[in-house]
Amino acid sequence: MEKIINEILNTALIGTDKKAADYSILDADILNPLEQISHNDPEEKLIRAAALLIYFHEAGSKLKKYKGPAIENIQESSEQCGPIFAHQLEKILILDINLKDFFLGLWLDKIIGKNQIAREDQILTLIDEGIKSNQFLRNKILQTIGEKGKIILSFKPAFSVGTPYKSGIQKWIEGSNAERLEFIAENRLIAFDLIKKDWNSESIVFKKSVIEIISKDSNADEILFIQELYDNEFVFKAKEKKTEREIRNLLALKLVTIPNHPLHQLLVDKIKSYCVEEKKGGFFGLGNTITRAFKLPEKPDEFFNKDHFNARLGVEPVNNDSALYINEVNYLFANLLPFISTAEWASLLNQKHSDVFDYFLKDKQFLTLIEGKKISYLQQALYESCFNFAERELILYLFDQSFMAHSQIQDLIPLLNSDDLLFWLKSQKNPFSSNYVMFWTQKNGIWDKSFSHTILSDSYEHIVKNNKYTSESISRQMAKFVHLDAETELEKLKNKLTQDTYSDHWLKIVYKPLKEAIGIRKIIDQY
Amino acid sequence: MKFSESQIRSIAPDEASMKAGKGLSSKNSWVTIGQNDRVLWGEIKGSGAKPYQTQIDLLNIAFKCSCPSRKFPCKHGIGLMLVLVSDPNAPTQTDEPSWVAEWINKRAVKSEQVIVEKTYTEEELSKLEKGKEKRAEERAVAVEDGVAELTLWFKDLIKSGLIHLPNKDLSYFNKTSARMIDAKAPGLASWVKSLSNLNYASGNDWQLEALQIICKTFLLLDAYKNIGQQIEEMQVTIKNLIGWSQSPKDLLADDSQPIIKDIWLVLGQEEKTNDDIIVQKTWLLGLHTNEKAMILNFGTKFSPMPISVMKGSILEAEMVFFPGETRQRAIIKLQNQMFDNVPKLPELLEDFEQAIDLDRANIAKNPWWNDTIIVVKNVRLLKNQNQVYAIDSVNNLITICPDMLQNIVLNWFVICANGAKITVGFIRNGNFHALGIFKENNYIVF
Repeated sequence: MEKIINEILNTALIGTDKKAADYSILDADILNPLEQISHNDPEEKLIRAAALLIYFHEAGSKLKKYKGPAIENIQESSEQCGPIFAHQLEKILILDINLKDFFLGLWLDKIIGKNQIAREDQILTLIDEGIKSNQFLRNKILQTIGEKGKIILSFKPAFSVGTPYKSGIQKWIEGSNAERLEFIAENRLIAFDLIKKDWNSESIVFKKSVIEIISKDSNADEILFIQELYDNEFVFKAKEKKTEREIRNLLALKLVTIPNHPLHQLLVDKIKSYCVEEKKGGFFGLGNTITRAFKLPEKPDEFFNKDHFNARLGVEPVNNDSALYINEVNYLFANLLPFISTAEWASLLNQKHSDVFDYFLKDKQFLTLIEGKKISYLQQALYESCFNFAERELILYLFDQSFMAHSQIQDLIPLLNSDDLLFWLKSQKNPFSSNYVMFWTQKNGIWDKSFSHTILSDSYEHIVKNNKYTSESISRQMAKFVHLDAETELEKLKNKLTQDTYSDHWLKIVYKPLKEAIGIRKIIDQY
Repeated sequence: MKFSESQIRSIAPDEASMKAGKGLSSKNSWVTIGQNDRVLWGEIKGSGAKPYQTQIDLLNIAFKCSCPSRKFPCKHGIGLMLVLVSDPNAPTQTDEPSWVAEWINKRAVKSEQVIVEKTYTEEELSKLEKGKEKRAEERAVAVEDGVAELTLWFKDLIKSGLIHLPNKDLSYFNKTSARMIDAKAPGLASWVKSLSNLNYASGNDWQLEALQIICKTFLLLDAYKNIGQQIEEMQVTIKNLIGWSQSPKDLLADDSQPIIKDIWLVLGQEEKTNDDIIVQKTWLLGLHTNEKAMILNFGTKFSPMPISVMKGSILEAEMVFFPGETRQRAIIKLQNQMFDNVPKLPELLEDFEQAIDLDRANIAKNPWWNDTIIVVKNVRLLKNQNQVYAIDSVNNLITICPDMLQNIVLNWFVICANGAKITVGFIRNGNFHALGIFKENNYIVF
């Protein structure tokens, strides 16, 4: 049959003008009726022969038989998630794009944590969602689609998971540097033993990253480890790598921030020796107070010299901004300032915090002429100090300084507590600038009850009472991070609404998205 | 009355409306929601002072909303249906408010209204008859010319060789197609168009497909030339294929056509766009009578497709079929009630051989037959490399055709790929296209 169909098809392709079909190979069952209905027209005869063959072939063709091994049952080892929890996925997938990934992450974390998989009719949806998502979510989705889902991934080449996802200790043993650091952050206690065990074989760059992690909120064992590194492995060497010096800087910074640590004491004692007493004060000699000020050497001395600062604190020995730091001592003092807390400086100078900040920013000896403007070369040092000691007075003081860039404020916001953030927000023209709240939230996570209530009622005040429109970005922040108990407060505010445009705006921007989000988060939370 | 998301998606005008509707699928979005046996309604706050009033006729699916959207159904209609998917207990009222009662009663009266034909005098009737005859004669002449022209066109194609087809300009096909429209034979124009729609870009599959189209059309041309020798039903079928249209209005008014009352399962639905015309096919299966019906609807992007039935729904209705050699195209004359579950399984075929035999029997009666509705039991799924196969109880193996290797089949695979034997609804038009599966007393439509 194939042969004759091919013969007819070939003739049709080449054209009867150039090739005559060979009908002699036709079976009599087809040839006889063909002869009856066809005359001498070669085209008609070919078409009719083809029609007969095609119908004949279709009528007689047999289905293929499956002869392979028994069909394998695909069994899932994990159970499917419950119906109410599963239903939240449908709600999540229709959320605003800025919320969807966040909530999907929460949903996936929960299901992974419970060692369950998604409902079967949601597997494909999740895979398709994964294609549009980032690698991080895609890896999580991969853990929730079960065996059947993994099998159909071959139909979805766009669902690329890159290297297979590693979990637990596997991350440390086989993972990339990023995965191993992730492991440390997630399993600090277990990781610390592994860090010590494998320390000698690690690269210098990786060691630096590890120290950056463990020097935050270190426990006693970790501090001992840091001390040991400072005293031995990263002690100053005439020939050393830049990264080794940078590590010494990190280690010194950690040690100096420990009260009563010898290094801390050494620095404080040395600085004291540069203090001179000054009289300040009242009328006719009444109410005079004695404060202190620094009298820095004009030339490098035994303490303020680059080699000493490099060996002791890992400070870069080359002054990389000679316009700002006109001499070596200035440069070194600016590098020293962030090692000492504001409280310590205040005590050394016997001044209030704000006076100390004024002193550092306005005293003549710290001013440099840059582009015709006198600025303090300690500005950057004060800003850096905030990250080392997170002192609210200094942060709030700096927020009011005109030299602070918007990005610097954003960087400092996470260091505030919720009360200080609210205090500062209220002093701003647009208290609901979501960027500020967002930067704070990125570090601090879920808001506490009081912060949630305040933001909620202030949003009400801002929109409904003060008749101001606001963007949806603040409600997105609320949706993600508001305390779940804030639902009661939300309802209370809703009940206070009247029929007007701004009430509608609040309903649309704040109430509805928040109500939906709290509903989803509660179910995920309680699952 | 239960809806599934897949059903609602099938009636949404576009993906954006579906997404917007999902945004309103929480009962909290609605001020009121009510439902009884015949209507679902709700009020939702919009940008205006008054809430929008949305209502859905549950017996003969229809929507009405007071919002200004030009989309049909609007996002509120979709959202209201989706509320029931997530929370069947969301409706809190059963008594229709006046705005609902007014609309639904009007619809009920309208569906029962008998079309009163205009009465003509004998003279007018004879004049009308003469005009009709004249137009019929003129059309017959035009079609005859068209048939002769197309016969010649096909013969020329075969003479010069089909190998040149991929190089032909679209205008080559359009010109002939337009000539067939001029000849009052739009059916023939579609056959010509289908030649231009073949995929000439990849592989050689187009070669046999082109020859098949030419053969079937040539057979139709031959059949028309000999139409006088055919029985009346076959004559109707041939004329339909050539392009004589059948009026649903005439059919409803024609009492001589048999009416089949049954509980109909809407097995599946498909929409295809051809020359800006959207053709929607809906396949239904009578659960008691085992009758199979296909409802055809037409729309354009400017005139929305009428929503008469939703895929996967189960409805008690009276169906009336258009005349023809094989009973297939139908319309709903009267719809009574809808069911949430399949009350009775349809007649099931044992294997794919039986399905193919059924298809062949239809083709034997009508060589241009397409779309055999079949339900086969004990089907299992197998994935081998990048292909999914269906295997019946006697190990006949069919390939799920490539254009179905999308989410439909993958969903099916995920639901059923545990070696389970399932009952599957298919449409066969050369290949097997899965439409849905039966699971307990539910039909899950793809």
